[in-house]
Amino acid sequence: MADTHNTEKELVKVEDLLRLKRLERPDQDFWSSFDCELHQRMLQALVKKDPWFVQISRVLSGRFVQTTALGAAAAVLLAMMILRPASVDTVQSKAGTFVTVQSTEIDLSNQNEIIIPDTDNVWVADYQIEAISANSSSYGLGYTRDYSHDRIEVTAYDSAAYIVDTASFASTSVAAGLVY
Amino acid sequence: MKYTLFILTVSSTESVSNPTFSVEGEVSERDLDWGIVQRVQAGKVGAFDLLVQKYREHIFSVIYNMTSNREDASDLTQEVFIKAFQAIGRFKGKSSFFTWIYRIAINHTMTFLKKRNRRRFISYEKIDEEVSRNEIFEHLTAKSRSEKGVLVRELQEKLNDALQKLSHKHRTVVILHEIQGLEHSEIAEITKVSVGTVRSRLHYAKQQLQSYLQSYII
Repeated sequence: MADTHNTEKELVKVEDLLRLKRLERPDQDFWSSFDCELHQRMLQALVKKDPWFVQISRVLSGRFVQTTALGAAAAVLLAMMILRPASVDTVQSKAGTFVTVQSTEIDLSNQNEIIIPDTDNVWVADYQIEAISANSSSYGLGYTRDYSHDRIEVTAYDSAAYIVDTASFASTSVAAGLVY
Repeated sequence: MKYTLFILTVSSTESVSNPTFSVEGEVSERDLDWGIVQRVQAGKVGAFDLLVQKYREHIFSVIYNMTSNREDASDLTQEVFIKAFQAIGRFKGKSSFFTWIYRIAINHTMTFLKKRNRRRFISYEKIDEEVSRNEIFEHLTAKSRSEKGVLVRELQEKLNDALQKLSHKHRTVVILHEIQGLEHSEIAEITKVSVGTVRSRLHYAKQQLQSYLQSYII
């Protein structure tokens, strides 16, 4: 009895009512005119041009354009990385002449004597280098030498350090260019 | 999990009317659509008519139940197929054509409804004579003691009003599940929400409809 009562209660549910809507459908005449109208509209759509902003948005949303823009940006960045360190190589001195910075590496580990390059053509030295040496002229003075012949440089700033400083400056500029 | 077995019918002219899908043959149905799409993409635009013939009634039904207006549904259905035709070159086959065309229809209808705002223009579709032989209708007739024709119109009006009272997203899931017969997973794929969201929307919508249609529930 309880089952019958429950069955009677569930004779018509919401789902059943909604499924009745499947029976709301047009007849064949409707579909015949539908097909004709659709074909006409499709032909009209082929002829009709989209508004300019729709065309532009369609072009800009294309993969080709996006890829091209990305490639161009990458090329500009690469060019900046290559060209920017080159501009650091030439430095204008206070005298107004351009001085080329040498980026050669100097091995300072086992050197007793620092070889000073010809600064007349290349370097503008900040200080003159003076060397005090015990030369052979002391032999006639009546005493023996306690120390070997040597060159003692008395400089506050030398070209080797200048080269090293310039090289480090150039490498810093390259690093800065890479960062940017 | 509920499985429904359907049968696919293909005539000699390759036209497909009221197709249904088999669980085993679901892949083949998708492949069939994809084959037609590829033919259209290759330049045989006449093949698009096969897809129109196959899906027009389904799409019209969805849009009609969303709008409750026969003329609007007809226009919108045509616009959906025109949109699909214009965009078919970009269709990659990642989803089935079935899902794709349904998604276009839902989105296009939503846009239309939002533009229309709260104004409602009702224009009912004809009801198949088969309704008078429906078992459910027999029960309703017995209960109301009204003439069948009167009851049919009354019920149609009440059902459409009840659906229109739902929000767009709730109405969509009810139509796709109860009227179109789609599974929760298919609805989730079309509407791009989770299956859980589909279930919760469906549950809420049915509760609402139950209160609106209380007098017809036996």
